[in-house]
Amino acid sequence: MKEIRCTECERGCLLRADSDLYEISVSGNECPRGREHAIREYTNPVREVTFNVRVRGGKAPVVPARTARPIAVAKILPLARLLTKLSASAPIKEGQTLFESLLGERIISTSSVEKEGI
Amino acid sequence: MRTADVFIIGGGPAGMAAAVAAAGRAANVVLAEPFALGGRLLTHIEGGVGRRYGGGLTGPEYVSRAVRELSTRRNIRILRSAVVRVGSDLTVETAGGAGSFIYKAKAVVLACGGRDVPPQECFPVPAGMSGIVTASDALAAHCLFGKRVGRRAVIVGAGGDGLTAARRLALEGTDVACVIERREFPGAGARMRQECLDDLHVPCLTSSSVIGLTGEGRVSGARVKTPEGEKTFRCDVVVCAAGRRPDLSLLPFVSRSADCGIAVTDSSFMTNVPGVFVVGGALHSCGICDRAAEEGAIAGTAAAEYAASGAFGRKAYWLKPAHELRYVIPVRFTAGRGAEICVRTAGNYKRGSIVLRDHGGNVVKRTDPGPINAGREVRVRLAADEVATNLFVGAEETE
Repeated sequence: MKEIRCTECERGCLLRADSDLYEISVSGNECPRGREHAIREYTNPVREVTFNVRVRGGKAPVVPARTARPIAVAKILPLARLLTKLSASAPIKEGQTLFESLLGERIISTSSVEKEGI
Repeated sequence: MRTADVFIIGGGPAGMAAAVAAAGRAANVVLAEPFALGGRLLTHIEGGVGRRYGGGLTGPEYVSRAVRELSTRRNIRILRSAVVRVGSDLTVETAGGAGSFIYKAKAVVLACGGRDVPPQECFPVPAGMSGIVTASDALAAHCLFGKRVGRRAVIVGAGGDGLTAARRLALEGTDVACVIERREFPGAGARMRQECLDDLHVPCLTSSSVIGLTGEGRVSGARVKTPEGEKTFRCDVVVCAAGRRPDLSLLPFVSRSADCGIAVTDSSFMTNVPGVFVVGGALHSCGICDRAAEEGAIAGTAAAEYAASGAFGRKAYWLKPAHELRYVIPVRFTAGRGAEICVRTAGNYKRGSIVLRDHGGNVVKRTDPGPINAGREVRVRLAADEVATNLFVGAEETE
């Protein structure tokens, strides 16, 4: 059994999801969206996460970045820890892939950084 | 003396939207921004803003689109100077950056954002102690300067700003000891609580407050009063996220509401001084971006019209907030024109409605019941014929 706080609307119902071999049962939801939310959170919760990535030789010391797709909640902190140790080199364009595969996720910049001294 | 039809103070989302809207009405626009265009969005790297550009953008992505939109308008001039004084005769003095000038404007839009509530107003700060920052400064350190503010943080305030700061610090190598909230519930919505606290294992103490800081020179711990008794959290930085306050210091001559302290504006965000508009964070704590941009667009259009004709809706009705509301915007509702009003409640409602009553207590409008969160504004669309008298605005739980 897992307790899940619904985030679909401001009401924030406390959902309970449980499963046997065949199906997932949900209780505590006041609408159908809550049921879907509980099943998603019970089976594979994913989030959109953004980071600041250090930049070498750029006009700005960091560039904001996001993952190419929503990532599993369990991956967020390991990925964040890994990214604090890495850096990308300028120039960087918005939408550029900074890292092809970190824990299986592509990291994309969300802003541009020019090269230093130009 | 230089001239401008519409002079906009501040290049954040509200100011940029106002500039585009005013330029679209063929006004000659000057936008003063001493730093980079984008304002608070430059430090909001999270997604979920930008209804204006199709939605789902991060702050920096929004900024690059908005800057591109500004650059396509030939009648917008961006002035890299700070505004130091605004006269009630609509003269604007600038200084620093691109230079010191005096502009004579036909309309002025204040879109300079809000200021964080200073830490010393939230908890006792010993003289000369370092390691105490506001949430905005902590985010700027991470997102603009690539610096961490400390190794272990205590965050005071669980509203949107506090939780955003908690997430940023926790993701980027600062251990967040806890988030402390004075009220009995976090101000931010359920999704923010899930993503910023639960997902990242950040504890949140409600009904709690910081009663003292320990340490010599740099802060080394925070004493917190909780319902279970006093606790001490070891930390080397305290982030104060007690909300933002409108900054009207440039406009000492505009009236403020006696009920809630915000600037008195009409439905197009014009103050009691004709031709002076206030929008976005300078008016109320309006969230990160989209609401501010919408207000900016409305005010920019109205400012350009006022600059061209000098005409505006003189007749207006008062909207008075009841004690269970923090504020209602606008305070004056222009007669004969429909508009959206924005209401912030003081508490949470499970199935709440916003109710508008006239002087006799008759209900003029009641919104459909739904969950209302103190941290989020509720918007009510009012048609021109629905407001024909002064109205009292309140919130009620429906059974």
